[in-house]
Amino acid sequence: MGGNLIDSELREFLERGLVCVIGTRSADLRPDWAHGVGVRFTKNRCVVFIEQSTAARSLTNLRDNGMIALTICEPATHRTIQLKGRDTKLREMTQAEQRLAQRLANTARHAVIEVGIAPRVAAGWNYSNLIAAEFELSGVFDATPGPNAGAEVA
Amino acid sequence: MTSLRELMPCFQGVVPAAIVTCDAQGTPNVAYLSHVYYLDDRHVALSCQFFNKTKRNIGVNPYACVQLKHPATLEAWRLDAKFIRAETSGPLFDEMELRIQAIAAHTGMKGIFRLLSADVYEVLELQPEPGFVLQADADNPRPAMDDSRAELRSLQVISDRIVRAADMGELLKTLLASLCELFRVSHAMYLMHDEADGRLYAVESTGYDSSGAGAEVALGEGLIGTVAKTRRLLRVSGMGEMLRYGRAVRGEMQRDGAEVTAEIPLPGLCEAQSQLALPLVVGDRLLGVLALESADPLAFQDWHEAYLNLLANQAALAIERLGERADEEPAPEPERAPLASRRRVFTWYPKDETVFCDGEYLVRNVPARILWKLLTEHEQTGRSEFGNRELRMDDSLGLPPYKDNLESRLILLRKRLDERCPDVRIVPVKRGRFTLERDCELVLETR
Repeated sequence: MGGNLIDSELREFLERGLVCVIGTRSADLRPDWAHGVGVRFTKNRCVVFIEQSTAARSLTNLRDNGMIALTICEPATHRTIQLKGRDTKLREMTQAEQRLAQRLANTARHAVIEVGIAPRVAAGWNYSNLIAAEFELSGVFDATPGPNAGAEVA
Repeated sequence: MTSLRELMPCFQGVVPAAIVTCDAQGTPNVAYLSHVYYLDDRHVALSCQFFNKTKRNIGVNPYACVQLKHPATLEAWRLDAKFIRAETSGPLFDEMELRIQAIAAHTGMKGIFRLLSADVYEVLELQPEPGFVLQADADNPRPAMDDSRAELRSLQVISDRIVRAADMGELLKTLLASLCELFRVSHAMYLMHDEADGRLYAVESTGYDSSGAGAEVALGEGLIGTVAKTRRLLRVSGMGEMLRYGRAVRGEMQRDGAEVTAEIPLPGLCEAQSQLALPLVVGDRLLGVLALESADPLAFQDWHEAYLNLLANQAALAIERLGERADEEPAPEPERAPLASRRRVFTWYPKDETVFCDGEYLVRNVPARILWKLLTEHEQTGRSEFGNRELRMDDSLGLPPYKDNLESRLILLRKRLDERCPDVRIVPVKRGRFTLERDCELVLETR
């Protein structure tokens, strides 16, 4: 299952560059979070960029079992979508991806400025040491707070 | 190691926290949390409003990892936690439910959006993540975590002023002005509880463009009404975030077919980011609500709750005391001032119990009946000095026989006249006595 199962409106939302939190787990099922920016879909895969400075455990987890979850959230509306994936492969970013990730990161900074975070604080949000995590998409879920949270959308 | 207590600003709900859990098959799940509640240095409680994937996961695998962010600096902490138990009643549940009730009441979801459980977690490990932001914001340092001792003196000063107030007007003015002066509060208002109709009416305020006197809030409506109904203090930091969250849930509930009602506009500051509302209670009586507001999302800290709760209790006793004091005897009628050439038309609508002035709404219910009595008597007899005692004896005014809030109602009436019709004034002359002054010709009509 890849980006081809996501409709164009949802894809635009997910690829806009909003706030991204990544979830992973260890071999003994201990969860962990990491700070991300993303995402981009290819035909069969999805790629998210993970900030390595706060992700030592999650990167180990991903190398160990490849299981990933991530939320993309628009702070102004709380609209949130969760992607789940497997078979995650970590790799260096291409130069094009480096430029793309910085553009997405800036969009995310603007999204939090929009809800009252001081611009100079948002500017300090660290996306300086990113790594690409490419995974096979296994599920897309509505995660907007409310009774429908958890419903599969694609 | 950082202690949970040092992270108090992170527990105010200004920046949403996130939680990662994992099911028995090893699939991780990320969710945002509306509220992480500090319990003690080893425990936090998370609010659960929906039976969601997080809830199901911790049922089979109790481990979780929580991301907490400082609201001013966005610095992040990683909490490795283990689910211990879910509380569905008791003090913790009630405390967390109050915030949910306030969101629900404000966003038109009363009764349909509620707390299912307060989920208690043991914090196994707490780690700062210094790499999350590149540098601390040196010009905007983190708010002091505990500067409460410096405020003790202020508390004492306000307390002295409150007990010395000679009448209700002075008491309310002193209370609100002192809060601004000594506790650096920028906007404050007092709303009287009218036991006759169960509503709250704004009586006195400070810091706002207009006094707002007469603004009404029903019990259970919005933040102030929730505080009045539950008689429990409520502090909301990051109001913007709370309302965005509430609106998101409301939208989802509407999509799901739930019957939600209109959003309740907040009285007071339209750009308020923090609100602290305190019930003024004596025995089993709710006298009113003291509401403080600020445009700063972190204006109110933990210590404010403790200090201002003490203050609210003392103010409540003083309001009660001033409501019980005997009135003084009437003075001889002063000479009437010459009238100006202006005309003011007062219209009494008995059906709605409302008085309009020059075609515009002025006041309703008990204050309207009082005003109409004063105006008609003044017109018929020329009398201008009146006493609280005779108002209390007048059954037609509909004052409750006991604890009638008359002083607060007269302040409300005085303020409405100040704002809408300054040519007619109610001027206190001594304890329990006031005069009706006018600089205009009066025209009274009933419709």
